[in-house]
Order: sequence, then C-alpha cells, then structure tokens
Amino acid sequence: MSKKKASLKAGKRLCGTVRLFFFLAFLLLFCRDNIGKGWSFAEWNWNGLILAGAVPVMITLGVSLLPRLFPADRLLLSLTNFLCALSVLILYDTKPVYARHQVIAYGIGLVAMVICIYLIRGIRSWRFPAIALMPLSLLLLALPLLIGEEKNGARNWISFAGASMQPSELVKLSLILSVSWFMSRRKMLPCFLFTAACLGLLMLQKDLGTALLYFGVALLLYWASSGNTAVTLLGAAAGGGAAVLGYRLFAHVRLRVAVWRNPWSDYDNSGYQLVQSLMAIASGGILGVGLGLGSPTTIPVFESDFIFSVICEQFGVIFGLCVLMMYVALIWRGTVIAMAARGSFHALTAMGCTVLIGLQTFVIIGGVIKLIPLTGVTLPFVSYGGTSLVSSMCLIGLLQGVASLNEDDLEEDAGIASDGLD
Amino acid sequence: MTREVYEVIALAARYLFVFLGVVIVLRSFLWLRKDRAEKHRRLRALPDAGMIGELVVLRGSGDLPEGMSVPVPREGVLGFVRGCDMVIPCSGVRKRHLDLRFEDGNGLLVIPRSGCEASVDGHLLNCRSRFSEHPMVHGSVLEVGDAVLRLRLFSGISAGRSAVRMEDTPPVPVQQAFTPDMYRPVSGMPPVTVQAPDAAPYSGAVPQTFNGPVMPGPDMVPYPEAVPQTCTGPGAPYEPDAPYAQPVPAASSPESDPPKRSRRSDRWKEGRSE
Repeated sequence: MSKKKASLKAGKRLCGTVRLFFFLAFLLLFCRDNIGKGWSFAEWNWNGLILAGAVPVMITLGVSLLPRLFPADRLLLSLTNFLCALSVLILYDTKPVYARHQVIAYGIGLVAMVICIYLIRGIRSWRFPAIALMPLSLLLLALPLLIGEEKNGARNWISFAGASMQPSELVKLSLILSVSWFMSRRKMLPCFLFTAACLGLLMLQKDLGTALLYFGVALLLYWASSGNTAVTLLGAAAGGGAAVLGYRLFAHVRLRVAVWRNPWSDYDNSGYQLVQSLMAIASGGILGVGLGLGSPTTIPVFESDFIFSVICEQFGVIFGLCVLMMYVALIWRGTVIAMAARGSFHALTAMGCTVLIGLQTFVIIGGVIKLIPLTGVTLPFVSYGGTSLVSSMCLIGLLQGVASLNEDDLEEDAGIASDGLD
Repeated sequence: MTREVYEVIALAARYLFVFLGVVIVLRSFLWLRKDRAEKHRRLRALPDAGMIGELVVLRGSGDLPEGMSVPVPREGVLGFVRGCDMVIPCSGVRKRHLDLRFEDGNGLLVIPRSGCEASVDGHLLNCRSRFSEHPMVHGSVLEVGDAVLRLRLFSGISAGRSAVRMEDTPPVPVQQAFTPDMYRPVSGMPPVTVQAPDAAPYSGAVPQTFNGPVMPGPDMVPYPEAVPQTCTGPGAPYEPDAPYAQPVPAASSPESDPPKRSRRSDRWKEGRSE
C-alpha cells in the first residue's frame, strides 16, 4: 500500500508543477497583452488571466476528477493534458483565435476519448466492427479525391458545413483496430490488402507523410504479432524501394529531398519554410528568447507543422528536449500497457496506438530539425488542428481502455486470491 | 507596464520555465518508476496473474517429465522453442505448433498452425478444422506430438462444462490446511468415485472408479489426490483406456516446498471450479 501511496504522491507533485508552469506562463502573456494600457481596466485584455486560472483548473479536473468517473490511467492523462495545454499556450502566444479553436477541439477530443475508452471496455467481440470498418475507412479515405480540396500540396481535406477535416486522421484509428484484430487471429491477407488500399489512396492524394505512418504502423504491428523479423525487414526494404520509386516518379518528392539536403540553395522559395524553422531554433538558443518575445509567426505554417520550432524559439532547446522526453514517457507508458494486456487484440491495439504516436512525433520533429525530409504530419496534441487533436485523443482513449482492462484483470486476480485465503 | 519591463520579466522567466520543464520531466519518469515498482509488488503477490490454468503432463519426454505443470495463459503459443508461451520440448512438436485462446464460457480453443496437428479429447484438429467445436475444458486431454497433457483450470475460471463431474463425494473435514504434498494420498481416505457424464467426449479414458484429481466439495480436504492402486511412475507409456494415472513424486523437502504465496492452484472452493 505504501508504494501505491508513493505513486499517487508522485502524481500529485507532477500535476502541481504542471499547474504552476501554466499559471505563470499565462500570467506572463496577460502582462504582454496589456503593455502600454495603463490602469484603465476596461481596456485590458483579460483572456490571459482567465486562461491562467482556467487551464490549471482544467488540468486538475482532468487528472483528478475524470479517473473517478471512468477508469483512466492518471499518468497518461497528465502527459496528454500537459501537451494539450502547451498547445493552447503556444497558440495563444502566436495567434489567440487559434487557441480558442484548439480549446473547443480539446473538449470534443475529451468526449471522443471517453467514447473510445468505453468502446474498448464494452465491445467483447471485435470481429464485426473490424470487418465493417474496412470498407467505411476506404470510402472515407476516397472522399478527398472526389470532393476534397488541396492544401499545402496535398489533396486530403474535405469541407462541409463550414468546417474542414482530414479523413486520413480518423482512418488511422480504424487501421489500428482492424489490423490488430485480423493479426490477433493470424489472418494476414486482409491486413495486407486493407493497408495496401489505404496506402494507394494516400499516394493518390499526395499525402506521403500519412502514408509513411500507415506503412510503419502496419509493419510494426505485423512484427509484434508474428515475431517474423525476416519478413518485417523484407517489408521495410520494400518500403524503401517504394520510396526510391516515388523519388524517381514524383517531382514533389524530389523537391522535398532537395530541400532537405540543402535548404539554403533556394532559401527564399522552396527552402524558406525549413530555413525559417532552423533560424528560429537557433535564435532561441538554450533558454529561448522569452515567452511573448521573438518572431515565431514568420515561420510559414507555424501553428501546425512547425510548432515545435516555435516552442524551441520561445522556451529554448532544453525545453524542446523536455517536450520530447514527455513524448518518450508517453510511448514508454503505452508500451507497458501493451505488454501487460492479456489478449492479443488489446495488446496489438495498444501497441499500434503507441507506435503511431511515436512515429508521428519522430517524423515531424525529424523533419523540422532537418534530420529527415519534411512531411506534412502534425505533432500529436500540440499542433493546431481539430481533426488531428481529436484523433490523437482517440488514440489515448484506446490506450486508456486497454489500461483499464489490465487493471480490472489484476483486481480480479487479487480478488480471487484473497477469496481463496479466507 | 512598458515593453522594456516586460522584456526583462520574460527574459528572467526563461530560467524558471526551463527549470519547471526539467522538473516536470523528472517527476514524470519518477511516477513511471514508482508505478512500475507498485505493479511489480502486486504481481509478486499474484504469481498466477494472467494464467487460467495449467497443462499437466501425462506423458512426456526427458525434458518434459510426467507430472510437470505448464502454466496456461489466456492466449498463447504452444511450441518447442523457448520464445513460446508454453514450451513443450517433445518430439513431434513444431517450433510454434498451435495457438491457445481462452473464451469465457466456451473454453480453451486449440488452433493448430499450418501443417500441424493436435488432438483434443480424441478429436483430431488441424489448421482447417472448426476448432470452436472442440474447446478444451477442465480435465480435457490434449495430445500434441508425443506429449499428452491434461488441462486444469484454476478456480474462478468459467469454461462452460467440465470433462468430469463430481458426485457423491465422501464428507471429509475441510479444516485440514493445504499441504504441498498434493500427490500423496490422504491417509484413511477411500478412492473417490466419480460418475463420468453421459456426454463426456473422452469417456473411453474416464473410468468408473476415478482415482484422479477431484473437485473438492464443501466438506473435503482441498485437492486430495488419491494415488491409484496401480500407480504408474514416470516413463510408463500412456494408456488411454487405463485408469487415470498419477505420478508419485519424490518426498518433499524443505527446499522444494513452494513459497507461501497465494497461488490459484493451491486453493479450491466449492462451485468455483468447473
């Protein structure tokens, strides 16, 4: 029992530190918003102060109250809430209207997360849902090709009722669920066909970053379910071959690779985005330029793909590494949950969610710091984007569901053990 | 506030934010570590956590002696190699021979892999068989390669029906505590007579007088394993029509006594096992 108390105490300390961080950060932005306004309170912008109070309260409610209402992993919730609150902070710092949208998306994401938790806990047999999700996902993925609009070189958005969404972000979830179910039953052919169809549709949309994620997740899930390293390496080699073929066939791929190799050769055109990102990170240095200072908005698409560069510019490289370590902690926790799952479907689902978050984080941060060619994926939980945030929260919901099932199983074992000793 | 004052405050606050960021990371990993320690403590108290029962070897080979128990998880792979969940080092067993999957209320499904065969209570199964029609339940016998294994489900695990049924068990004081000498006959106890069910799939191997593992009733000693009149020791060939044979283990010594932990296999309760 003392170890359990120690664990709860560690959780409370973490949440206390997170609350303090965001309270001080939003308070600072409140001061920035009211520079030169004197003592006329009517003219003051109170949003920063409201957020300085509301965000810590939301974090407290999220970590303390929510687990009382439904089974939840507190550590996962804490890490997720930190990253989501960081997103709101950075967006409020750069473009406050985005912060409002992000808060609304967070609320929707929270509801979606709870739904996913109860889906995992409630559905006993995933046979029908796994099969039904496949044609629905392919239809959803084909919609942008039929009625979609092109944004940033990729035709992967659809708009309706004034709102736009990216179907590939939602199809991620069905990919994980369907592939996990079929692989848990050792039926590889449907997985292969479904993944190949998704990849084909994504290539047609020129959404190469998402295609890379889908391929990586499917390959790693295959390796986790079968243990066949030789075939997995063969698959990875095939993926590499496809990448080389894509480079030879598609001009935009060649452009991306050229920019990655030397963004300075065309710094005011195709390399502008990457150059601005690197300069922002460099100008931030170790400690950053200071919250509310600097010029983060000069980076194109700063709110989405390059939000990590904004974080490094404002808070410094050390803080950027801290954010990276938060993702590592999230992935670690997800892996622990996957390994503790009793059923292969749940284990593969948890593994798939974890791998997807990890791979997506690596791809975007690697692209932003010029480690790998840049792709158009978002940083989970932090990047601006309703669909991206909701789908990331759904991934956490699936992880939470599996974690709660693990906890139920352990408690059942403990209950049986204690009954026997009576 | 002027811009210059704000800049000074923001520059000074950088150190605080970086410090808080580092503290948040350290506390996250500390929480991870404490959670892991707490989980290990819980699992140490539950050595059978995740297991639904065990496969008792009725006939094996040198590395798989008779009487040995192989724990059975809810889902797992049975095979020859070490990476399998249930390692059966016997001839005729492939590297990954079959998959076992437990379904509540149905039983343990045996799903042979491609090119592999197994027999459940006399029914031959291969990768194309309808494995859901022949689930293993408590007492079922699995033949894989040269190995013959009997499934024992732990208390609290529901598998629908049982291969053997308890009836008219003689009253025995239940106060006698469990001892690790589970294979030794309880002195003065008559062999337990069990009537095999009419629909028992393996009726050929279940004799009328059944001197095997029994489900204790409320007045029985927990898990009394009576040694049959003709006791077959290790190495004797398995005879499907012979009375169920129990190996006679060596006398227990203090070193071989199992640790005093709450193992499911140590405890039985009326109505919990099937």
